[in-house]
Amino acid sequence: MGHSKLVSLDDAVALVEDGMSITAGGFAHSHQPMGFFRTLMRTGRKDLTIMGVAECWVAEWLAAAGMLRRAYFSNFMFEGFGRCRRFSEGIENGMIEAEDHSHFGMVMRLAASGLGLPFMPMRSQAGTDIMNVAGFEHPAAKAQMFRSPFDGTVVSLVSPLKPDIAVIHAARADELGNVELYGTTSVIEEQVRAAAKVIVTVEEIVTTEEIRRNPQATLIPGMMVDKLVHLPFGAFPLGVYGYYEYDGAALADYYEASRTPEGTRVWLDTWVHGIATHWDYLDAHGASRLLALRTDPHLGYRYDIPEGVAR
Amino acid sequence: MSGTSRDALMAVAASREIRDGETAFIGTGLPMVAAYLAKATHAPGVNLVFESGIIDPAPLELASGVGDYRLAYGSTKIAGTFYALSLLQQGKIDIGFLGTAEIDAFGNLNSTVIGNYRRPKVRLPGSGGANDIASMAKRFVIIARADPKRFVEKLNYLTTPGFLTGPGAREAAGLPGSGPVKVITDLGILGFDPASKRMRLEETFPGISPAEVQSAIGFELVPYADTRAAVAPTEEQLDLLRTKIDPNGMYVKNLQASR
Amino acid sequence: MTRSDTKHVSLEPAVGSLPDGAVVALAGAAQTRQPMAILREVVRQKKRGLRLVGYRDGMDFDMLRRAGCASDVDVPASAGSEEAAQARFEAGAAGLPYAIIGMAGEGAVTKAIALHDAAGNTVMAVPKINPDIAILHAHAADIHGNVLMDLETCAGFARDVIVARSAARVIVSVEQIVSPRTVANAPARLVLAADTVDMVVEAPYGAYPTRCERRYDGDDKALAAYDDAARNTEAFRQWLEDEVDAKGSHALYLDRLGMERLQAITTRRSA
Repeated sequence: MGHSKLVSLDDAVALVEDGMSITAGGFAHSHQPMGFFRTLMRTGRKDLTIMGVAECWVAEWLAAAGMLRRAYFSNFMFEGFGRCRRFSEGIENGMIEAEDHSHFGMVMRLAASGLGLPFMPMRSQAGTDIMNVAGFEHPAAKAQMFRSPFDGTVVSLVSPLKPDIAVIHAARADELGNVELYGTTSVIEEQVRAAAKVIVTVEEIVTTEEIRRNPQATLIPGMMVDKLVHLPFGAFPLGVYGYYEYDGAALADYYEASRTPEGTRVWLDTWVHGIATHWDYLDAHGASRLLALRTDPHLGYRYDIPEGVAR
Repeated sequence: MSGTSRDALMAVAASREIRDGETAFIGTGLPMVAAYLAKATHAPGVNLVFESGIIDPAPLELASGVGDYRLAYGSTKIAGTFYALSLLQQGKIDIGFLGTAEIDAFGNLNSTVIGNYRRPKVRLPGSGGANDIASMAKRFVIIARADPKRFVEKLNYLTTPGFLTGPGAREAAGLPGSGPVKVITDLGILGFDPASKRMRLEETFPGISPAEVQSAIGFELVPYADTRAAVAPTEEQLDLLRTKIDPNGMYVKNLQASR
Repeated sequence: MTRSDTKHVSLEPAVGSLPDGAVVALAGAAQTRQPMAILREVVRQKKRGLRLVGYRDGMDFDMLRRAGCASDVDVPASAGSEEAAQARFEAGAAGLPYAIIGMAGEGAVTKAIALHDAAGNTVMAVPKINPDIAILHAHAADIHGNVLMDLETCAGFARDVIVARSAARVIVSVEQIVSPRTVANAPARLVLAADTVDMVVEAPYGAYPTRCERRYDGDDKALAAYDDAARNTEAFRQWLEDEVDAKGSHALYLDRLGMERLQAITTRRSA
């Protein structure tokens, strides 16, 4: 019987040091480990690098807190709102450096690392400025054209990316760190394989028996997980498939505040620095509001109770 | 039909590009509307794939984006980003749809920066799946409103490959897909001259002249003798849009208003 | 579905529909699924003269009694009399005047009468109960009134079903209102069909501080605090003021409890 991977949120966050590279799970307004990152934002860590695909909220809040130095990524954009302002302006004023990729390009660089390979062959990105224009990486260090030694097919090779830490928010896990996730899995498998250390925060802790009853639901086996945190509503104000949807009002609130550096500062003081713990953050919105975000167990999204006149 | 909204014309034109039995890679917005319109009319067997890893979903209502949990309902498979994108590389995706901030005469797109790459005037969201779709789908369609600021002579940054520098360039880069086939704008539909791979006007929307289209395009369109009026949307198509597919006008605005 | 086809009512008007003096049955079991959210609202609305009936005693009956809402409480005095009480509801549900509970001479049972048949048998019977209103708490329901419980808990809900069937009107609070599709997809979990239910109220943690199987444990601290409060009138008055705030709603009640406390007792949030 293995040992428990369970630690407190603060202990997990303490693994992150200045200058480290981080990859976070999730996409759109879903699954990103915002509880972990809010706590990280209170620590004053700096000069972080994000190795991301589309984890827009993580990138944006780290940028807003002045903690982000570099980004390897494909696309950061708030679906239904607009651009990630602090991140974008950070690049525009030289505070943050970018290295662009396509979605598949980032996935393949992480996959190369996770598969223990010196490069991955792939077919997109070629012929464009993604390959030809330097960010903070020399183009030849990122990707190179290559002719297959077997049949001469032209492909491109991308070099591996190995994040120091992967932070994933998922549905359930047992204490050994066997993790279940529902819905789409974004780039989580590749991120977990690529990273040197893996931290997972989960909505629920279950018994190992429950995991063993349904092994195909296990996305990440315990052997890949270093630290585990029990963190209900750990993605809030984003959603977790099978549990709750995102809180549109909270997201809109940030989006408005991010229009200016001053508005962002006020928002950070209110929602990050002015709040001591994860529970305080949840209670600042209210238990009833959080419970109102619950998804319907069959539909997979929040059921809008139709209005009517009761007899 | 002169009262039909621009969005509706674009959605219907896009839906016509999808053939029954194909596998289509679909993004947020008008492409989603077009895909479900095609599925409800001439292409009931179309298989839809989304970059979030959702395959062949049967949502009960229109999703607000590819990350919307509503979209996952009724899907035959739910996977990850790698699975969905690798289908493109394998050649399983017949058609994709893309929007864009900037587009040039060869159908190359920019969604990365305006200005210098390292210190841009405006930082845009980045490629996302666009470069992958354009590189590797068997063919793709661009949906973009006509505007000289959007249709430009030279892109600030080449994010996504149309025909790159012209004939032979895609092949030299080893891109497996054949490239863009149509550009659907709010004024009409453009295609690409087979010899030069540059954009030409193929169909105009009601009340729009070829000269009007050219004045909204920032580069010279290749002359084309067979430019014709676009086939009008049918009542059935407009009705489906209005009542079933986008009843709240999330993406198809002003369904009966004129431009 | 027409606009009038919903049985979903919010807590305030649902309890508002309860007339003073009504015969009200409470379902749930010992420290389990007692409809506390609804009953806190009953106290808040200062209902009077309710004649409570049940097949077991509990914190819910006790609270209503002490708060002055109930003029009469007809619940078994001991665990031994619970079977007879259940039989009364079964008779009510079956439309029978009596339920036979045993042979004469087996021991005295409250309200039991002796019945003789032509063959010379003497049996003990208890009179039926047909409450005006039954109040239950369950896992889920749709707006039509179809009530679901998790499969593992369906058997344990059987007594609650009988109470519902014995009553003229049924009000059910649920952890979550779900879509009719969800109900259609879980036929084995259906414990009460729509035609038995009159009103559905959404009240997450609606049994708190009692437990709800496969959702949350009872809050031992809160239950102990109630026991302390029940010792004397002044303590109870204070408890009532703190717990059943005149300005409060179930949503505010949950907000005040806080997420940490709610999560500490929560045992399951996924299917």
